[in-house]
Amino acid sequence: MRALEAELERGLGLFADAQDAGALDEAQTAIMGRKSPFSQIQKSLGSMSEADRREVGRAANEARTSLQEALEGRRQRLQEAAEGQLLEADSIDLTLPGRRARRGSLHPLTLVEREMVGVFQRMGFRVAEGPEIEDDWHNFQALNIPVDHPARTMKDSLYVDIEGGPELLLRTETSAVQIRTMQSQQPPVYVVAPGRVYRRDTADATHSAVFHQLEGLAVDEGITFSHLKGVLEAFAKALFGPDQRVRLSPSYFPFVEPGAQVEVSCFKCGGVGCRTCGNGWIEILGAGMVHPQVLENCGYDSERYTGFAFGMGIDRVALLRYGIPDIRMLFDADVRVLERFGVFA
Amino acid sequence: MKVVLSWLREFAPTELGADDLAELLVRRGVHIEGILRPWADLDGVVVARVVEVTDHPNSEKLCIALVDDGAGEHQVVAGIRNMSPGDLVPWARPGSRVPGLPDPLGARELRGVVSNGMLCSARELAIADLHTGILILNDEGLQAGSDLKSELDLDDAVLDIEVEPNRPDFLSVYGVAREAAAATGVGLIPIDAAPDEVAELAASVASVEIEDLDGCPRYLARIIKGVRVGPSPIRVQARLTASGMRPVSNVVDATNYAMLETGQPLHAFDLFLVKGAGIIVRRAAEGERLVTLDDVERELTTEDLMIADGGRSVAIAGVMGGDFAEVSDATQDILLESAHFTRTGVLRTARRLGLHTEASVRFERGTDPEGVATGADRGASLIAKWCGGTILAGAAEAGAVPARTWVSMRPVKASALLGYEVGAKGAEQVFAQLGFGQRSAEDLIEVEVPGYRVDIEREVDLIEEVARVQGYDKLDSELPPVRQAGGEPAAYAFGHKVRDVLAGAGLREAVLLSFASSGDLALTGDDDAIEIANPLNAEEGYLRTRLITGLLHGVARNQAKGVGSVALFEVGTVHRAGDPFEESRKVALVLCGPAESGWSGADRPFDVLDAKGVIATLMQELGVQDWGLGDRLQTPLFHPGRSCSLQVSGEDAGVLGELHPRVAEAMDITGRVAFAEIGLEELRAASVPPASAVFADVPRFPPVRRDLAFVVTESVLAGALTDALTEEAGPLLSSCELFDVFRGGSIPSGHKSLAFALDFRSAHRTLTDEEVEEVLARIVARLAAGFGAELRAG
Repeated sequence: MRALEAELERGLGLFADAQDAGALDEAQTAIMGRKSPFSQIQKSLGSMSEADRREVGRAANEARTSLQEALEGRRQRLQEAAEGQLLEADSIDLTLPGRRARRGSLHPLTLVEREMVGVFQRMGFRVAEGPEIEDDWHNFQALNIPVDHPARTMKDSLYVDIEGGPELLLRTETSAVQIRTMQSQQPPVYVVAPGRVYRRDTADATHSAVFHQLEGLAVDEGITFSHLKGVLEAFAKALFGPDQRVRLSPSYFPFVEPGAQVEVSCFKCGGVGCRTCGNGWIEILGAGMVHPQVLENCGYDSERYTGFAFGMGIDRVALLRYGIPDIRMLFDADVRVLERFGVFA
Repeated sequence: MKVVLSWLREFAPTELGADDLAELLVRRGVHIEGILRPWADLDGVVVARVVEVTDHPNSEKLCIALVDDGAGEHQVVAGIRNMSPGDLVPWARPGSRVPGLPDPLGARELRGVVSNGMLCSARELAIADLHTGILILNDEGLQAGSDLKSELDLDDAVLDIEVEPNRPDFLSVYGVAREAAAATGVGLIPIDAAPDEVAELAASVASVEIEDLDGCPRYLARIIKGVRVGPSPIRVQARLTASGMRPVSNVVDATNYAMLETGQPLHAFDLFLVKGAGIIVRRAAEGERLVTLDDVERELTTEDLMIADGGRSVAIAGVMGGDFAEVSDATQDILLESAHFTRTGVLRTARRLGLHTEASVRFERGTDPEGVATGADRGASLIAKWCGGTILAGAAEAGAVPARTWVSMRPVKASALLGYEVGAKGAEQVFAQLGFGQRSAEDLIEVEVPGYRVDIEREVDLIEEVARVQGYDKLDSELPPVRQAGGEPAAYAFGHKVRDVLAGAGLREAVLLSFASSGDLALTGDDDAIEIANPLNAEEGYLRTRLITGLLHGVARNQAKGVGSVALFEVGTVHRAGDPFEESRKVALVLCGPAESGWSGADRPFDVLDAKGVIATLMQELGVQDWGLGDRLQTPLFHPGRSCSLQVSGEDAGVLGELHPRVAEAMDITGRVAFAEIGLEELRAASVPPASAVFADVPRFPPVRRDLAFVVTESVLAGALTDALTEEAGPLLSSCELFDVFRGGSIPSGHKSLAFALDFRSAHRTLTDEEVEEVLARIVARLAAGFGAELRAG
């Protein structure tokens, strides 16, 4: 019994002193191995008297359980310590910048065009497109700008040299898409046409020989000037915020009558007047009721159908929206500008 | 058109200030771009009498004037000596301000003599663009000591109006006043034009004959005899200058003043120089030449309308006079032309000659045929007033004033178009306010169109008047009953999908101009670019044939700005000549500089395989399966060993490669530039939408993975080896990834090791090792036979 107690004492001490898994294994072999004194004692049980055997046997079992528990406990602690060391060695400087996938971006014109087109699509308008090289009829004559119309001097066009063909030009307005749409379908027509247009303009902060417009056209029975105002107001609220107001003033475009220049209350200052707007209003588009002559040019019955049309500069909206000071910055492919943008507006 | 406000108030005596009046006019469709105040910086300049003028002791150019402003005598140094004792001159006292100078004047020493302020020229006072002498004010009825600004009405505001083509009546002070009077409700005061005539008849001195009544329905010539040509009054000069015209002489100023006021262009001929004292309005002879007042010889055609005398042409009708019968200092008698030339003729002539004058601009847009007499009367009166002389009775004239037209409007139609109830009463009020004659029938209002409203031709023109005058604020805001769902054409949506994929792949979208220079075309070797007939500069001489050149220039600009890593794409339109010419949409991308960034990034520049990777991603996202590489490209733009065509559905649809180092150098680009360009329509045609049964394909059984490395000679292409491997493996191979290319070490020189990670899988069961080993053995045998490939141990 005394030897048993001594072995238990010795084992607990050895286990507690073991500093790594190897030492613990050695201690286990020394204390509980086949040849250990402890095993000898257990083996000697068979030669004991019934009473001794019961007493010593029970004590040996208890000692074994205690040793086993101590061993497992020590083993677990050693494992935890080893794991802790490993993890500590694996620690990292979390203040280093995170690894990121290469970030791409959409162009501000794309972002703004999607937003604008999206608003009209949700109102039921469909996107229409047309060619950038146009003929005189679609770009001018059908839009109520005959050859000798003074409005032809309002803007200079870029013409292209195509041998043997008719005189062609780079469209000066997306309005030509109005004509192509009406030629290809009967009313009702509800379309928006985003696209690239061209002018013979020297580039400066607000002018570019290439820029982009969004044209809108609605032709149906019973379309009124008030519908135009309603649609543009809904557009302005969707794009610039629910408090937006819209103001129409008389203006002239040969292909609409009555014509209007449309201003929205300044989204920078809320309409009180600031450096962006001056008087609280920002002019963003021209619009009006489709001129009956234009409807007739496309074979529509101008007594039965009425319509409205509008056109606005996508570039202009982009400049306003993002505070870009110079239109040329849109067309420069300058990564320092492009990286200000993401894939959402 | 610049309208001096005090001038406008002579006809529309409104009390409104410039800003309020401008706002009111804008709301009625007068496009006011701004309000100018040309004399805002003029303050404290007074009239002074010259007492004496003496030499400057230290300068031959300068002189010393002693001037008296009524309160005392002051010494002023002047740079010019056109004034004499007794003359009244503008004296800018110390502390005063003049428009021409940034700071208030002071007393300062000029070459040792103190100058108290300065004496002013017409230019310094913004009265006329004249700087040849001190402005002499003797004939203006002024007193020494009076304030120049208030005495000469120089505190005016000027409305700067952009006149839209439909309203040429706004090209006159009176026309704008007419709108202002209607808008404010003040009565419109007629132009006081009736001249004091002598008994002698104009028709007895001169004659007029019109050969082309279509081009010139009416011509009227007034005669003013015994004029003295000289400068016009200072107030007149100031008004002309503020209106954007240059004062010339009293006769010319009188015609310009009357034109600005009435809108009727006038032309003064020296009667003595008009041969036979007869005006003939006729077409030019083909090739006829005339030196116009601007000293340019013009060649004319039979389309052009001319003013001729008995012998020769003296003016291009409605555009510009010739130098034959020009008014000069010696002119005594004047033939004053006031005519109606139809707009199309003048427009064509002015456009062809590139000669748009104050007169032609008015005729091009349409003048009032009824205003011919008013203009002539007003012009003659002003000439007589400012130049002396007598006005002969009546006029030599030909042609007639065309009758007015009537246009009718249905109030019901107006309501239907505007979306609110206009009502017959409301419409009648509008037309009455505008001064239109009208008569009402059942459901119809007939309106008499005055001659100055060239824009009113049909019903909608009257509806516009109603909307404009009643005010656009009357409009309701309603949404139309759109009976369709919104949408977009597939091609439009596809372009946007491509943008999303490429932005998601880490590229930045650029938008570039559509032009190409001849240099760009030389780089690409494209000889089918469409030329721009009238480019503004050589850089924009052609339409681009491909997107890539613009992106390459973008790379160069970015590098010049110090941007190292450039990954850009563009979706855009290109053009090529042909019959028919081609307009097509492309997507292009360019990669240059470090491929990865950040502290842990491998230091590796982009190359063509990065571009290929982006293309592979694009194809995968778009569902384009049938794509591959075509032939190598040998054109000068491309690196010959790293470029090839891109094929979609077996046809060339684009290019993939790197920029030729020589071209890169020529474009000032450093480092490798990888790029690709491909047609959107080709992609779209080959694009298969994701299968609807996509979830049925998700594998249920685990794959068996095997890595195989083969040693082959350098000439063996990875693609060919992969193709053969895939083909031999058959349907059990679910994925094959080339994960390593290794050279050196135990690999013999001239050889490389290509390592593949292969996944084998069956949709129906877990594969056994035996099945996989059998396939592997076939692969090894096939590659050994086909490529001499040796399976690398391990």
